[in-house]
Amino acid sequence: MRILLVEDDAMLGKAVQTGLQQQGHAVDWVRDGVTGEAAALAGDYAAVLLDLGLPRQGGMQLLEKLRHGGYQQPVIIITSRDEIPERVLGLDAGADDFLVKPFDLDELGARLRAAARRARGRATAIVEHGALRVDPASHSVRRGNTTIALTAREFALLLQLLEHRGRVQSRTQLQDALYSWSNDIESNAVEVHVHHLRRKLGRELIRTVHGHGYMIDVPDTHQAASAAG
Amino acid sequence: MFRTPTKPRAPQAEATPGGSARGRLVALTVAATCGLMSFGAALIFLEARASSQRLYDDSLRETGALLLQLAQHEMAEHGRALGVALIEAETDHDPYSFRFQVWTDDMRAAYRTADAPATPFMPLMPLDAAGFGWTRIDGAPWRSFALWNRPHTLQLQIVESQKYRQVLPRAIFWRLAIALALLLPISAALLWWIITRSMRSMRALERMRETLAFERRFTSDAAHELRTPLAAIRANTQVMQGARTPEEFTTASVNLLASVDRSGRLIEQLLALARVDASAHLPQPFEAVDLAPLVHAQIAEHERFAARRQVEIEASTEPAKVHGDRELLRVLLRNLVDNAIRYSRADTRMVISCDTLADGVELAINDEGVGIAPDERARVFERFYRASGTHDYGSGLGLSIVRRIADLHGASIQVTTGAGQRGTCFTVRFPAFTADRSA
Repeated sequence: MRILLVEDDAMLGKAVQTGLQQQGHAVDWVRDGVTGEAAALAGDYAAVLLDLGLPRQGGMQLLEKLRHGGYQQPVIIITSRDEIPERVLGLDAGADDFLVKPFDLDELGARLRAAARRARGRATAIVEHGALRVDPASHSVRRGNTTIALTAREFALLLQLLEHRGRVQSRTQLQDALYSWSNDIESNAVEVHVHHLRRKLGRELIRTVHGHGYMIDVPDTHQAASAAG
Repeated sequence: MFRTPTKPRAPQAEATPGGSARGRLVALTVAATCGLMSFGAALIFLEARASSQRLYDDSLRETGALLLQLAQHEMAEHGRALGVALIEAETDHDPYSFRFQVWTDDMRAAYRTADAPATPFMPLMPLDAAGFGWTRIDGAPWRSFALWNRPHTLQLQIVESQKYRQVLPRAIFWRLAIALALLLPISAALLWWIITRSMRSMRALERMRETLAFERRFTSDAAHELRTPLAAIRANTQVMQGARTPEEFTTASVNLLASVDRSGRLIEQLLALARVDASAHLPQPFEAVDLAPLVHAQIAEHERFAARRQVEIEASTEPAKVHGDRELLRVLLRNLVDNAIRYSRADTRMVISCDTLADGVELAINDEGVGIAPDERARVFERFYRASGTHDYGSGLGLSIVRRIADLHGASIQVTTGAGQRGTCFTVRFPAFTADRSA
């Protein structure tokens, strides 16, 4: 997932960025409310992590402005204030979740996944595709009883394609999901990862749409189920 | 997020507004009490007057009945044929307030008091209309009562001067008036005392509540300020555990160490502030302190920090004696110097000067750092306030400590743009040193 982190504290911000990258996310980090607003509107983020005490523009104000403008992506507030009114205010302003400092990076990751999942209207964590079972929490991919080992980038790419099943994902979209601003992207990085995924999961899973990008088709069982429903 | 509690009390704002509010409250309460008491007195008086009139009427009726019986008796003894047209009743009427006449049914006066006129007080009442009424004698109102004897042969007419009947109500009136005149000043004084007392305790309570709220907010702010470095410590530790490259590990460990230092510094500053706050409540053991050696001591203490930041410190000190607490002044200087270095740009100079002027002692710290926007200059002294654009890790308390210490010394602080239109200049002005104040 590509995540926007708005945090003014250098040491905490750096750690959260690195920690989430370790979990396979692409994290863009900005340090004030005004830049945060611009970044959120400009980028395609799966979720926004928002500190409340920000220079130039407070987090709450930023959140209200984003929601007022119809911003749909999940926003998780990270704050040092844990009083109930603060939480109520944050949730009412349009936050999806609330995390109080100091927090656990794994918990932050889990909440990010949950928020992103809810935003896509899905309640269960595990993504099933045919015989494939993909668990975003444990980063594990299983086909039947066999576990398939993927790198963090490969996993993120697979998840991005699965989350948007039936729709073509452009190379740029996939790149955005994999890399934050700071990462150097080799021009054929996406192709390389797709190549590895096909080798590990079979050629037919990811379809190349020439001139556009890649996609995973909606499986037949799914189609049947949705047609029946 | 950095809520900055204001100081719980402004000492000069205590006496005057409370005083006028109290005056108004007392005046209103006294006026209301006066009104109510007067109204009550009026009611009492009216009721007393009505009762006294009934009382007078009762006694008039009884007297009348008695006299009529007496007259009837006399008539029966002497007979109607007595032929005497007018018989002096043998009553010494003087002490009596009433006059009466007894008339036969053929309008002959049977008896009357000496001062009663020879004509009836009023026309003989018909049988059914006997009773109380009013009449006028010599232009003055008199209460009248008419009564027939059983065989309707005699009618008694008795009158009583209204003047006499006013004696009792008038006495009641004066007694009430005197009671009111005595009670009102007493109750006003009592009210004033009660209101003043309760307002004083209310003010004390209010002040205590403000102080408590201030302390609570400060404690809560302090706790929250600690949460961020704590979060950084936790997050960096987790990043180190999951480090994929040596660089990631190193960066996280450096940040971890810095976060620990920051927590330590924040705690240290909190303690310093607590000490300053505590000493504000104690009598000041002030002594003569020369700022110049303190400045040099601070420069020596910050030598390494300044070198690391590539900041050159220059001192321009003249003897600058002030009345003060040496330890607190050291803390003030340390915070100002530390602050200046912290927000200085690399390869710049800062100048610390102190001097004795005609009207006081001036301490100035001039840096060529990032500067503070004019509209933020007042706020930098607030607790946990950090000027925008500062990514460095001050505790947010240093300058508020500086101001508290300056306040304790009666010194003022000015924040201006530094010399050469760069950076910031903090100027602390102490009152002039006078030898006799050390006593």
